[in-house]
Amino acid sequence: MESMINDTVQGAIYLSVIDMILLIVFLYAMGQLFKLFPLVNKIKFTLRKKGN
Amino acid sequence: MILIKALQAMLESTGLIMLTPGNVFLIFVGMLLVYLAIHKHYEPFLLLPIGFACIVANIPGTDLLLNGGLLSFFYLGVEHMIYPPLIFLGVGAMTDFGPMIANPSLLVLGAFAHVGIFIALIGAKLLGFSIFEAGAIGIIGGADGPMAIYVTQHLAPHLMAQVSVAAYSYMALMPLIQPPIMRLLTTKEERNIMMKQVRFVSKREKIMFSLIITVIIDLLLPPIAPLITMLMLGNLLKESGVVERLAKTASGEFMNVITLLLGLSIGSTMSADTFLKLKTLEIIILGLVAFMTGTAGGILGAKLLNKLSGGKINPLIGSAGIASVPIAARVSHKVALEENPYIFLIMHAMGPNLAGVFGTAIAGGIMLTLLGM
Repeated sequence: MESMINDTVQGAIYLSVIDMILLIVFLYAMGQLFKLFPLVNKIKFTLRKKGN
Repeated sequence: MILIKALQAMLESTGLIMLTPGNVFLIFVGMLLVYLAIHKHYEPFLLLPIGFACIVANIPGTDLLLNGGLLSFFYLGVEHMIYPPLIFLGVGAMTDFGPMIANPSLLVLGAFAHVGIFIALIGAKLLGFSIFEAGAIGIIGGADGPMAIYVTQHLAPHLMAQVSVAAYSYMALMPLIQPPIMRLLTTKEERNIMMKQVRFVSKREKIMFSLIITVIIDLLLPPIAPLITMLMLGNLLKESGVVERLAKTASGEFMNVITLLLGLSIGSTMSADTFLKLKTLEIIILGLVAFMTGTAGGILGAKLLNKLSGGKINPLIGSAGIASVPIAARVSHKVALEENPYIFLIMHAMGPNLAGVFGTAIAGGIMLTLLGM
């Protein structure tokens, strides 16, 4: 696989900006996903209730 | 006459005549690392074997470092990137990710505290390093030793000694580097903010976490799949509760063996001919810049979140967004405690701290992808 980034100062700036933005997006998306995690406990509760 | 010749032959077979001033200097550096580990308790599990191997690596005449030598076999674990994922297995098996799952809005602090990576990367490029070398130097700012080794082995293996020594040394020195920056960028009022207790995270959520994160990260960022896979496997062993022996082994003796081998391997790269260069000094300075700006970035990010949340977040937890677990979280806790003995930030700071582990891995993964690795 070839590098998409040039070996220049400008390339380093592009690499940094893209990496930083994607990092924020990734972690923000992970955070949003974790907000749904309490639902896992509710699913368990519903299944048990149905079982009973 | 025969006696003199015998003595001369014996002298020639020792390392004495090959000993250079550089070797002597690095033997003292190795001794300093051992002193810091024993006397100051700075990351002794790492600095002790690193320092000892550094001393040995600078004693000429032995075959320890040569092809087929004992330390060269140990180094195969770094060269073939076996140790970093195995260290992550142990870290996963000893870590409770609950504080991070419980407070998802703080995850983004793991990104803000990584700004140091990119400042060091651009700084390295300005100093004339190649983009690959600059990437490896930048990752020091993530304060994650195994990740620094992993990325450096991909991008610039010839800088392994400098990058790994800088990363581990600064991790050990975080309690000295971070507090002045934290106090400088926060007001007394901000340091006194009490945070609400985080919610309880169930065992089922933690099990789902390891499975879901493995699938998502391995799918989206294949270059870091070995690290995240092992981290999450270790955590699954711990949280499942059905393989206690495996979890105990992964986080105990197994982790100790790998840490010892990793420390010896890194220290063995510190021989005078590869380590004593101007580049080393530049990398060490850039590493410090990365740590300092990363700390500042994390604090400023936390201040922003504090404003957005209406004053509910203590900005001191921002600096914990640097990956080094749990050192950075402990530093946040200690600085807050010095300000107010009733503030206990450790659990709150563990959230961004754990997010930082993912932050460094993701930043490294994106970097490897963009650089075509």
